[in-house]
Amino acid sequence: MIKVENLRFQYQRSTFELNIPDLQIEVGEKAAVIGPSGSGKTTLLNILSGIIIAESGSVEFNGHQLKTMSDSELRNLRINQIGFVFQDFKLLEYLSVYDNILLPYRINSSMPGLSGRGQRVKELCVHLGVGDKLSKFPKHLSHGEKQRIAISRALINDPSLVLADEPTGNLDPENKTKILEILFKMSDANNSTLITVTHDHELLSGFDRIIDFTDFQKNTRQ
Amino acid sequence: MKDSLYLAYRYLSYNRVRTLVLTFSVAIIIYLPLGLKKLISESEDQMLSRANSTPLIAGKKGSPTDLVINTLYFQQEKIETLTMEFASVLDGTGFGYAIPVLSSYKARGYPIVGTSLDYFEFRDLGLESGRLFGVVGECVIGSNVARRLDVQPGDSLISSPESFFDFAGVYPLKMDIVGVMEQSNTPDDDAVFVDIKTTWIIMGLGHGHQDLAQVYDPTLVMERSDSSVTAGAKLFMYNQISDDNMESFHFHGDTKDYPITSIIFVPNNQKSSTLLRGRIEAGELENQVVVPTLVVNNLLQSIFRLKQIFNSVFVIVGLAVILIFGLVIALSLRLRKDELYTMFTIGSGKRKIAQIIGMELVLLIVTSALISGILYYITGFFINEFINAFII
Repeated sequence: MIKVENLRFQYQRSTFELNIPDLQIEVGEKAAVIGPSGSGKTTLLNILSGIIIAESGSVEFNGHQLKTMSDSELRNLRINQIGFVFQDFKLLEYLSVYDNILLPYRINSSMPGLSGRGQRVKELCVHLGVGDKLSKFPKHLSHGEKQRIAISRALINDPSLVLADEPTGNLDPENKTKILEILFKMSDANNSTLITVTHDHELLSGFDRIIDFTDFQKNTRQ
Repeated sequence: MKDSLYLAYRYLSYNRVRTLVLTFSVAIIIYLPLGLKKLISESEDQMLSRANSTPLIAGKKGSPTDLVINTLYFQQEKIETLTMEFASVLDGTGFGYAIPVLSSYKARGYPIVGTSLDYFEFRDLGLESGRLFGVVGECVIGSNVARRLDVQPGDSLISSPESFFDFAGVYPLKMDIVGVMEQSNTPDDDAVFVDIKTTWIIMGLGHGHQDLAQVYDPTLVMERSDSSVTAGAKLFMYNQISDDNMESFHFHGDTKDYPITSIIFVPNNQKSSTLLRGRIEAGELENQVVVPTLVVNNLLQSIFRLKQIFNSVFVIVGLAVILIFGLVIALSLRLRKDELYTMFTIGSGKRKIAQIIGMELVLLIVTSALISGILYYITGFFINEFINAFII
């Protein structure tokens, strides 16, 4: 469960301030975060994953106060319990699909060894319809395929929370629906929480809950 | 560590053109000073060893360096000649024995060295095949000459005229190859050895022609008296010495007045050497006698100064390359900012990211060092040829 209370965050030399008095997201819940550009949606994802630590207020994830955790604990939390999906996929161009999906295992020593992970990679890719792309490099993939690979990478460690930052932003309408369906299915199958930032209001129907950032936005100039 | 190495390898192999350019740039910078150092130290060793094994060289007064270079390495610098008589004078001192050397001509690009058979014993040169020259017109060739020209005993070599337009000058002489010397990794490998008289024939000081007593053609014999016969230029001159015409070869004048470029003098002992040099310095004997080791050491001092300049240049170039290398890495990291941030976002520590970048640098530098090592190793195979071709 994610619990945010009295969160106030402001970037240095910025007039914008994110202000979330109270937000609670249950385990397995599928939440869409909407709001105008610059309203702090991505900032919230960064705060929830411990990349940014808000000094004011509290952020609790599965009972852990993020503010009190060390850098390495936060890293371990991200790698073990959180999966990230980005709008521009963020696949490493020099790694094959197979290696991209296994990247979390190669960059953090707290992850268990790679043995046995190969089978899981293949299963995920087959499930997401990219089973024949394992040896390909990102430059040979379509946007839809890239996002499926990015989702596979996010899910390889069976996370309890998936943070997706506009995962459909670079996709055509057909792929948008498919990618969301995949995320929903995976969330249901793993009982993982899904928080998705999106601008696509027509896709909101599948979410359990809509968090509108217009409510949290506060401009200190106003 | 293994994963960092794997990711570093993947990055470098994916960006292979950039990697190759960087690797070879660094490899060249590592190799050049090492290769040059090897080249210079090997040159020093070879030059000194050749000089050390030659106790004294006598020659016409002039540049001692030219004299030594000509005698030890058969370089075709035009140096003043002295007469063969001086070899007899030196022999007559009783301080040792003299080996005449006349190195002024070439055969197919290789120096023709006129000398005596003592030379081979003095240099401790062995035969790979055939025998040493026995009569005028025969030659013994160095191993490199044999290999490069693909010739062997039984074949022949023609001396090169000094100038195609000098009709009154040197006539080409076809020399019979009778032996090939063993490889010695010295300039002897690149020389064509002949009896000193053969060189004089090449110079035109000796020749063979039709027996004038048997020639009655008035266009060949211009004047005949009881004591002499004057022949015309139409008279047939032999350009190869054979058993049939050997008797007709003769020298005009006294061979003791014939030129030689230098004399290798082998003193009986150190005392003889000192005494001989003392007599030369006292002006008792004309010409000069030099100690090759001293001359070559002087020459090497110049090379040392050159080496120091090269070293300074390499330090500057090396620093420039390190700066460029650093700049390339910095620019590369800037370009990869997004990628590195992705790694950080999904759970990589900054130390791990630094380790991956570090591994990339280590791989680049190790590969560069390996390439320079291979180049350095290969240099060893060609260094003798390079030294003989460009330095000595």
